[in-house]
Amino acid sequence: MSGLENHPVVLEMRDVTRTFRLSRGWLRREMLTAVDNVSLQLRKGDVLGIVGESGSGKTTLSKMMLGLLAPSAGEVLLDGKPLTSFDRRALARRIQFVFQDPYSSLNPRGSIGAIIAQPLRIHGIGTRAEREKRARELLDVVGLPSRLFDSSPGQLSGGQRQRVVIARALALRPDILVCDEPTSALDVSVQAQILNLLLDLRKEFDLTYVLVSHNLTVIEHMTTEVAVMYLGRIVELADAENLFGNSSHPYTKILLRSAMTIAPGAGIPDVEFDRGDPAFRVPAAARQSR
Amino acid sequence: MPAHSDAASAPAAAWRMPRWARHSGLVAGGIILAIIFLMGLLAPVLAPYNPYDQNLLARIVPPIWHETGTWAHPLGTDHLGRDYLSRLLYGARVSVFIGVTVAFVSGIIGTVLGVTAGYFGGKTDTVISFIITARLALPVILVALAVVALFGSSLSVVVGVLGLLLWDRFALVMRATTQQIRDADFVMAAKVQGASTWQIIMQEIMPNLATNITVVATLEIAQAIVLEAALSFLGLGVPPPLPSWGLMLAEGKSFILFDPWLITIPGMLLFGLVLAINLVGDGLRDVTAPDSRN
Repeated sequence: MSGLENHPVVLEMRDVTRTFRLSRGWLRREMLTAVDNVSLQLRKGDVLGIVGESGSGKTTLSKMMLGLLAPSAGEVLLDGKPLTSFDRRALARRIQFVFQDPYSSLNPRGSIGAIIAQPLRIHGIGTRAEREKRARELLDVVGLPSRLFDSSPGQLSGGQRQRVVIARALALRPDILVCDEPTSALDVSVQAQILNLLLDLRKEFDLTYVLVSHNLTVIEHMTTEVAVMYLGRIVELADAENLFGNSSHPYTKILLRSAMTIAPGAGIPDVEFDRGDPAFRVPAAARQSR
Repeated sequence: MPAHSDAASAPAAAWRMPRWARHSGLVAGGIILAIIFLMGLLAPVLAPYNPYDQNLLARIVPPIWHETGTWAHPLGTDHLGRDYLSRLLYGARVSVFIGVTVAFVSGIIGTVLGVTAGYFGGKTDTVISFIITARLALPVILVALAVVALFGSSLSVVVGVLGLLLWDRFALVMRATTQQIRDADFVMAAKVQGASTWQIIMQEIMPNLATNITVVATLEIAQAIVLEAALSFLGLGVPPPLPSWGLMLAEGKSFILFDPWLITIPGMLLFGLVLAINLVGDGLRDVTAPDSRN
């Protein structure tokens, strides 16, 4: 077990469902259930991994954690209070987001220093000079040289940009960081650096992570607990070791088997996926998402 | 980006020059524009005569390059004996003032409407799009004629009418651009940081619209100047005896057969001004594009 059972629950989702209305041509409307009746708890210090194939509802789930999307049913609780009872700014000080694509998540018109200081400016924290000082400290924390302070985002590499995104997320000293595929847009050589940075920051800032990924190696390396999502539902929730050692749900097994490895001669894995298996049966509402 | 096409006029040290200086169109347009601005600004100093002073004994004196030209009136005089050079210098003021003011008024209206429609979408967008379509259905010249007929012609009426009519391009461009930016991750990032809608629009959206606003503004300045000239030509623009280039064209039109320079001189200036504004607009767009900033 992860040894965090006694830690307080910071974020909790209770029976959360999110549906989207799709428009399919003239007057035809269909409902898509992106997240279906999900319940989970995030304890202080947890690193919760959320895995699943594309379209399984991972991003929708993480957006609801941030209050960017309201659940259609169920509720999200932060410290036992509904997320809706927090205003935008109070929420921002608790929970922050690291984006998947570091190219579109930085305003191309800003300087790096201004981008990192932006949360402080929005919250009216400190004087201009204090904010600049803090932004330089944050550059250092994420391992970027101070000379990048006046650069524009266009001059930075993907890995550097992702470090800027992390620095900006840390500016308000949140205690929860939701990372949506933080490394999938980066070169393989840079991915490990960013992941290790996240792990270091976890100790330094006492952070709790939600890590959304479809990369099982990343999940295995990083997480204490893993939720496996399939068609909007959590089909398995287990400790990282348990999941990779003996998974119980057939979808998890398929997911684990489908991971690309560098084992010699393995090639592209040949995965059999019998959707007729009762384990994959989903409610009619969710099936439309396929 | 065609930002380095200045081989002819730039010396060997071209790579040391800043980007804007290497853009030949921007430099050429900027120089013409600066000259015309200075002409208007320094008109009281430069003009040899009062532009309103008539001298009926020296009517239609030809410019200096004609055989009968005289240095007393380097560009000649008009049909009332007013010094043409002085009137052109003061006319630059009117043209530039109308262009800039109209673009400013319509820029504010159009940008507010366009950004509002683009950012909020939904019903707001439907309503504003309807207003834009309604505006596009109005023929500018006809509306201007009707308003001038009702209220009489004056400089402020011309500026007001054109300012209230020329915002459609601003609104359309701002709406489309805002829609593109609205869903960008960096806007979501600002939301996650707790930014208010106002902060998002002012700090995230507007800086990314600046280039487009500049480019549309230059187009609108040029259009407003040409429209003012057209209205003045029809006798419905700025009232005489104000020295506007368009009005000078109108006053010269009855002499076009025997004294064509009465038309060609203000016509050339008008052409040069509009060309320069367009060159500057294009140049600014090329130079300020963030992706190619180095």
